[in-house]
Amino acid sequence: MFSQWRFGRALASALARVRAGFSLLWLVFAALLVFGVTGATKVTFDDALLRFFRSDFPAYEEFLDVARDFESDSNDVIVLIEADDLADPTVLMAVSDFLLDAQFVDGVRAAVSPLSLQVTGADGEAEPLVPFPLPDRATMAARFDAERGGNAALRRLMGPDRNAMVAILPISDLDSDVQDGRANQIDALADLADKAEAASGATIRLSGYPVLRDRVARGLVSDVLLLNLVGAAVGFIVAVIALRSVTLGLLTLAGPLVSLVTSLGVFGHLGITVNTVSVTLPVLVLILATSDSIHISFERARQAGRDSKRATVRAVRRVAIACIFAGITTAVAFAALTLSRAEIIAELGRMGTLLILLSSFTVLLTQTLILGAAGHHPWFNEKFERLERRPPSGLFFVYLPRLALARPRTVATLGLIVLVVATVFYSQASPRYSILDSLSPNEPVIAAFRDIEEKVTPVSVLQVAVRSTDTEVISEVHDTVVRVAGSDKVQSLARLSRDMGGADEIPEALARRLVSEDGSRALVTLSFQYESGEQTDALAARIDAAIAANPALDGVEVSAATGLPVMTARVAAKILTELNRSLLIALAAVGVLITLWLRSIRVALISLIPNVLPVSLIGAWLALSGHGIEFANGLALAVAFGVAVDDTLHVLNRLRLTGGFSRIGRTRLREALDEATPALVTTSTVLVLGMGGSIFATTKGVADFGTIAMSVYVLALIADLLVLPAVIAVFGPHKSPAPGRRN
Amino acid sequence: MIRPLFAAAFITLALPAGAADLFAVAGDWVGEGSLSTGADKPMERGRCKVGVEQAEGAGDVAVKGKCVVAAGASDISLRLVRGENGKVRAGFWTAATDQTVQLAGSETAELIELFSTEPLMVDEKPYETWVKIMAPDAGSFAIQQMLRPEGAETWRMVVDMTYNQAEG
Repeated sequence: MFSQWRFGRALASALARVRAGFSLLWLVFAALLVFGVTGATKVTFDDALLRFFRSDFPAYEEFLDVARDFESDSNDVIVLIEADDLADPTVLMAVSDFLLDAQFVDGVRAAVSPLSLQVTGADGEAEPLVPFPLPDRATMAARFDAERGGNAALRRLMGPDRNAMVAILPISDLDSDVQDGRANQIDALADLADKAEAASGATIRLSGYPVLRDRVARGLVSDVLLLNLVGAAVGFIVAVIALRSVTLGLLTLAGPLVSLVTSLGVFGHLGITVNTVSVTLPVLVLILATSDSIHISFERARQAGRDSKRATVRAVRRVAIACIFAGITTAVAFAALTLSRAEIIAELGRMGTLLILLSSFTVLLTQTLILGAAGHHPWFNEKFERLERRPPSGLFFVYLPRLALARPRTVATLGLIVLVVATVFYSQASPRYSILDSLSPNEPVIAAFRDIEEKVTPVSVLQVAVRSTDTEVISEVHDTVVRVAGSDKVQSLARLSRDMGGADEIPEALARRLVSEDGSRALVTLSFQYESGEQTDALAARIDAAIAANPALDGVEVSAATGLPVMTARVAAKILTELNRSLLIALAAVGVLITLWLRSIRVALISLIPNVLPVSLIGAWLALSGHGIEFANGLALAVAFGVAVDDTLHVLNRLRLTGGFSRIGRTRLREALDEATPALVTTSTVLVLGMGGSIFATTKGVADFGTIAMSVYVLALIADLLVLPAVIAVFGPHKSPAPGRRN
Repeated sequence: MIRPLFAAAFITLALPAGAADLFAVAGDWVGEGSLSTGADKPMERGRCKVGVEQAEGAGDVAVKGKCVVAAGASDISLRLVRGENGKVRAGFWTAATDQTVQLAGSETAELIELFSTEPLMVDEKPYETWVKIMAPDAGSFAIQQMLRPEGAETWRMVVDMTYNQAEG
């Protein structure tokens, strides 16, 4: 017997000796609670926008190599300023005040805007494009219009109709890595923007990656609270309805809440931040623990009539194996993620595995103690006896197994056909990724991103590094990029040096973006309008190919195209492929585990059908709808598969408890499903509605994860009640066991 | 990029309303006016924010702060010391070039004037600088800084700024 089985037996035995060991169990419980509470106060949050991609993929290493040598745009706050006419002196004065004051905000190193440009005056001397004192609107408008045609910098910073301009505020790296510091910077800039808006009537919006990261980090905090509050509330309400008692509902909630606190404690004590990937982990723990706790309560009701404490221990013991096994299968899904080369996915895998197993133990322990302690009160047994007399309803779901068993061949055949077709479509789903997908498209920072690209200039930057500062070599790369991209929004030392009459005149902030600190490398950058990861990757690939094919660059060390959008597109594609591979590994591992548990490869294979079906159906929908597999979707499919198996395991456990798997007749199948259906409906309701908070999540990844996971849970319930009995009835063992063989 | 030359003028930006109060003030001051970011660059709108602390008794003032124009910013730091017979000495540093410059001059009731005692290097060329501090009214003071290449006759204004006590 494999170790988990032994562990389950051992735990069950331990629980059976509760008369002697209750004091010890209370001590363990208290230790867990202290551990959880003290750790939960240390939990920190991280947007993980860049850490997400930390890996050993070549695209990431190329990005790091260039980022080490050149200043990046990933720390630029981009300010979009809109007004009826930006030549209006009132507007320009307010914008000037904003830009001056913004540079007093800690961490803001400089400002690049139309107000920082200089032009050649009538006397041939350099003068500010925007002089002070400010001229009247007509004069300033004429000045902007006259300069725009020949000034590429102004064209990059101001829209053609003088009603939109951008200002770029580079933030120092040191401060931007600290969430509190970044939040303070963004708040201070937002206050200044409000003040300037009030003074001028212009609209001033903040965007750029620091603002995006700040919004994501803040969103994570609110999402964690929202998800877990909704999860706990749903768990409680569903438990109250299913158990027909507020008191029993409260008792059912104890284990899940302790599991949640303990999980947060693990995050805090291990110093692991909650990020866009792991943010759903605590609520998953909560709802899975709620599911286990409800199973225990239902089983406790079936034990009505026994001595209270013995009934509780017996109930926990009978359910423990399924709960533990369900925890193991979910943990296996997470464990498959630990194989990822992306650090953050592997970390999620490790944390998921640990927390799910810990949660299984915690909920069994807590419910044993809580139900055991409550059993001293006379009302306790009465409530469970009343529940046993009026067992919970499976609603209309009870008709699904009946339909399946009335026409098993038809249902099984249809199920298999749908499975094959859906899997074929699923295999065609392409990976999708956009860094802007971290938040909802309606978020102000995302809307500002889009508006900047639409009204003023593209802000996504592709970079090509050249191991040379020879202007001819740089010009060759520059021209190649211009030719391939079909855009004049290419910047390099060679071009700037020519335009500005010598590299010495290039502002330092800009020079650090075009020449490496040691002076051995130069950077050619292309500003382009970001549409998707695929579009970015394709553009980068065309540039790489053109540079490789350019004979003038033979022998010159030129990097592959990189930059934040290129790196994220290329690494994301690899990570998404890994997620699909993790799903396959989880699938195989779960099959092996069920085989070992039930000692029946046939039942194991059969039981996988209703679990693969929901995943394939959702995958097919993602492919056919054009959504593709995004990070959140890929993770949700892998994790939800592990969770969805739980229902199947509880059905199989019911069959195991009522006669094993040597021969499964339809009558026993029907009885097992009649017994299991109310619990499955109840726990699936917890799973689905418990993730309901994700619909209102700030971070788009959480919302997508929740939607996909909820869909999988609904389909998994239907598959377990409809397809599972049908395929067991058709393909399961029907004959009597061979003499001497035991279940 | 902010060049060091105009930063030289900030040595006096913490001065009070009257020359008699020069070494008695403390707190935060905000300057508004125009700055040049290079020896031959045009004047442009600028703003400075500094904090003033009295160091080691009367006649020794330490000033730290930051000056900005539309295109960039520079941290500054200076020490201003009152000598005997109306003499004033100053030393200042700016982050733009990490260069320290010494100035010396005199004070009267209406005006402080300081001249560089050593060349101020701008783009590797030596310059002389002249700083005037005036107090047009009780709550503010004005600073003007001039610059010329070493040996030249004509001064060019590179700082013209009026300071007021910061609100709050």
